[in-house]
Amino acid sequence: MIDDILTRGHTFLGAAWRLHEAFPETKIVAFAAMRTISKEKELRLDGSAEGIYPVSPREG
Amino acid sequence: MKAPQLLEYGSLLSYCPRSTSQAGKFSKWLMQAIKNESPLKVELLSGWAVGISGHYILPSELIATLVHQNLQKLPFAHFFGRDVTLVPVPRASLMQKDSLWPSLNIARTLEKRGLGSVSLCSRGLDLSEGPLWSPLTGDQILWSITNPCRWRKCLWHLHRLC
Repeated sequence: MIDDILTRGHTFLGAAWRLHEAFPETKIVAFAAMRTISKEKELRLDGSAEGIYPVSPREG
Repeated sequence: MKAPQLLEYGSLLSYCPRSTSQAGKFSKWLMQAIKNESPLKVELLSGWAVGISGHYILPSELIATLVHQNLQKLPFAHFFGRDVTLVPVPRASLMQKDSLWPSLNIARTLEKRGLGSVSLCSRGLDLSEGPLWSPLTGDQILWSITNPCRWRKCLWHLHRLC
């Protein structure tokens, strides 16, 4: 599943349930371009690391 | 039928609504651009967006480019591949014909880069009193998602757009 912004995940969960009903044998995962966080120290602009740019992806 | 207990997910970026730092403000600006598919002026350095200079690019193109260029380094690299079906999830609000659908734009740009294929799409219909069959196409409705924010019930059905 693809979404632009992930906040609490309600949309993902609802969609996952419907997909699971239709395709019970299919593995379902969720990708969001951006995720809402509550703590600034968890801020990431690169998918893994804390983000003060320039940023680079986590090695390994 | 037993509901899925766990849902594995990955996100490329994050933003903090309460942040007032430079990075936090940048992340909020980027979030708004992604939601509205507003062209961004960004510079890619080592494959990552580093600022607001450079050439204009649509956010969906930026996301797909970042995923594609850094795929092997992302912890959720296995989410993508030629044998993967990309399913854009519907917006929380009721969608109208030709309304902006950022998830679909992202899915399509990922598809262009060989990261999967968009084969299932959904279209929202206001069917609070409606039948279990689409009045537009006669297709059977498969999606049924309740908007947790507005408590507005929408029914969704699969629709091939591509």
